[in-house]
Amino acid sequence: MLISVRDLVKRYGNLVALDHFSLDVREGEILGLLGPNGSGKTTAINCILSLLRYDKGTVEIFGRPMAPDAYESKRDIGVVPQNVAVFNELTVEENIDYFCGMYVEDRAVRRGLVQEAVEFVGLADFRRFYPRKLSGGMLRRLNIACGIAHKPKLIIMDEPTVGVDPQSRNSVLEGIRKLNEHGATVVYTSHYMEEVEQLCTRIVIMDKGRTLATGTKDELKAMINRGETITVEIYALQDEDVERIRQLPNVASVEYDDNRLTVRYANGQHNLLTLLDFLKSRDLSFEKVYSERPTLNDVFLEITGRQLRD
Amino acid sequence: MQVFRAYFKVVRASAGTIALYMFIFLQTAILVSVLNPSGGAGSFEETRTPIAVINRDGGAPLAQGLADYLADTFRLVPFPDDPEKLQDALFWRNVEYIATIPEGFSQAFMAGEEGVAIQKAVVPDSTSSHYVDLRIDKFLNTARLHRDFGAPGVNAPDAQAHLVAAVRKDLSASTPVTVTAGAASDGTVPGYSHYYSFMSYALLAMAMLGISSTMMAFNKAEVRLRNLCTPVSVRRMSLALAAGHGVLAVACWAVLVLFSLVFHGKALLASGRLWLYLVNSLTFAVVATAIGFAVGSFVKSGSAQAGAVNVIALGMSFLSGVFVPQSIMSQSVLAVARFLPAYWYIRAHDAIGALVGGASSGATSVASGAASNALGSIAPYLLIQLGFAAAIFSVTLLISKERQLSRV
Repeated sequence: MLISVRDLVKRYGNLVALDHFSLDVREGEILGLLGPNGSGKTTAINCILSLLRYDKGTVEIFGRPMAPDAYESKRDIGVVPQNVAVFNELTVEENIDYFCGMYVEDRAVRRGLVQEAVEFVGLADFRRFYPRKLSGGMLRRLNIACGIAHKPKLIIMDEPTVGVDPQSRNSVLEGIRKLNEHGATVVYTSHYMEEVEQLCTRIVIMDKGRTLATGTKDELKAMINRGETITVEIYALQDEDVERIRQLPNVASVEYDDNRLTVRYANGQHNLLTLLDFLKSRDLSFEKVYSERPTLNDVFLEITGRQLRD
Repeated sequence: MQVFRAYFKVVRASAGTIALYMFIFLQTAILVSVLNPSGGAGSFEETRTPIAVINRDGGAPLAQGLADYLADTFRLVPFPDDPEKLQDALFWRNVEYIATIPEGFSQAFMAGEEGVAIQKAVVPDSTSSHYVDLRIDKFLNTARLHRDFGAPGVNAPDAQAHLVAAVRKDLSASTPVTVTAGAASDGTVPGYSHYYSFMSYALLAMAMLGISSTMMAFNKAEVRLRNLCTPVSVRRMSLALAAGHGVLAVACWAVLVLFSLVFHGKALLASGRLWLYLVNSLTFAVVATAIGFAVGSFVKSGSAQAGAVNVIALGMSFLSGVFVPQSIMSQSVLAVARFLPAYWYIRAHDAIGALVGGASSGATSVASGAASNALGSIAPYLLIQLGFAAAIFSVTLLISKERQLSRV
């Protein structure tokens, strides 16, 4: 395991921010840490990085206990914090060089790394700009460049794409995938479901400081009591037919409204074939058929609840 | 090294404002010390009050002698014996005092008749008029002594002329006065003294601004946390920042010293006091570093920083006698100023100025004994300044540590 967190407890007075939180990160994976606002994602990251003291539990990175003075471990970690952490007084290039220089002393090597990082985040034309001249998205990209320029083995990204436009976001996600292909292990916190679904090989869903579910996206989808949803555009369906469809295997619910039949399945296989066979046997003609698998968003809402958060 | 290098890149952002403070200081210092080298309360220059003497006693030698005596000290403005014109002269302040010697005054005086007095008209609340009174009294009292106690020739036919000669001889005796505090041999305050006095303000403002700017940049919460994620220890970072503070403060000091040599190099070297001024100002640079460190630790925004720099630098300078000599400041203000490091800088500065002939024995060489004596005379003030710096550093570190712990 590259990161091993066991029974982490962090309290702020009476508020329990992390409640026996455990996490394993395997080498070479992109682990997504998903959770609603205030679920404890950033607190967990800060505890893992020894930026916060915790009340109980253990954190190991690269097989060594993590501590504020674990400089050997820190040398191989890249951090992209949630809030943009750059010097307003330094240019784009100087900022990347500063943070890269905290890890890489050789100037010649560093020059190459800075160059790569600038191009990686698409700020080559803005290298001499000061942060106050950059847009919000550009600032986020600079923040990422500062965290990954030294090519760390482990990259911890805490909601790195907040405020980044869709084009830049795709480019950043593609870049993270490339970093992973080159051997970097990535821990990625976000509340953008599609981002996590698209990028992460494994996902941890947490809420109220606890781990609620862990697995690949398919494993997570399998955890909830919900299969595919099939929608058929069909005319003049009789109530009797609707009732018969409800009796088909795995069907959880059936709705027929405005010439549109929606059948939700609890789980199971060949549901579409069974439905189409039934329609054929009843000699019912139809126009269009859609089949949708449950999304990570469905899983997330199912696991964490649909109640609004502060 | 990375932190140290970044330090000066951050300072670069404040370079314009620092340069502005230096420009203002140099402009003020040049105006005061070059264009008005002898000005200031530390020097002495005799002034001659304009007065008019209306002599109605004709050609009496005693009356004429008195008028001549007054002309030595005051500026006699000739006016006709016309009451209206004399009143106008007083109203328009052409003269501050009109002394009228009445007819028969000399004869009456020689006869010992005290009823005939010199009449006067003065500008209301004029302090100079008291001085004129004193001079007239002094002349007449001395003349009275000679008259009453039989000075040679008093009973001769030309008694009045003899009397006047005897009085003038007595009154010609004078006590030489030498102004030494911060003054050159001719009694004027040299330009470099003003320069090094004002320098404390510039040094304080420049060092505070530069140091607090970098402190604010490195103390920004996001950057501080990000730095904690790196493999560079907090101790190494703190040492690099401390080295940066030191280099910046010394650089500000060196630039100001360089300009002092440009403007006053010859006079400073000849005075033999240069090294004492250097030691004192370098000590104050340590104080400025400590204050900058404190401001940078507690201030969060640029506007608050600008306010703090102006209030502290200007406030401390005014209270401590940087712009106005301590000798003319009220005791209550000075009692408060004792708790400010700039007060002790100025005390040391004044002590350096008061060294007779500077630290050199004669004008040719600096004898080791004289040098150590000179340093000894300002050492207590230097130590007090260093004590202030140590106290400010310690309290700031203590409070910062407490605040950090309370956040975790």
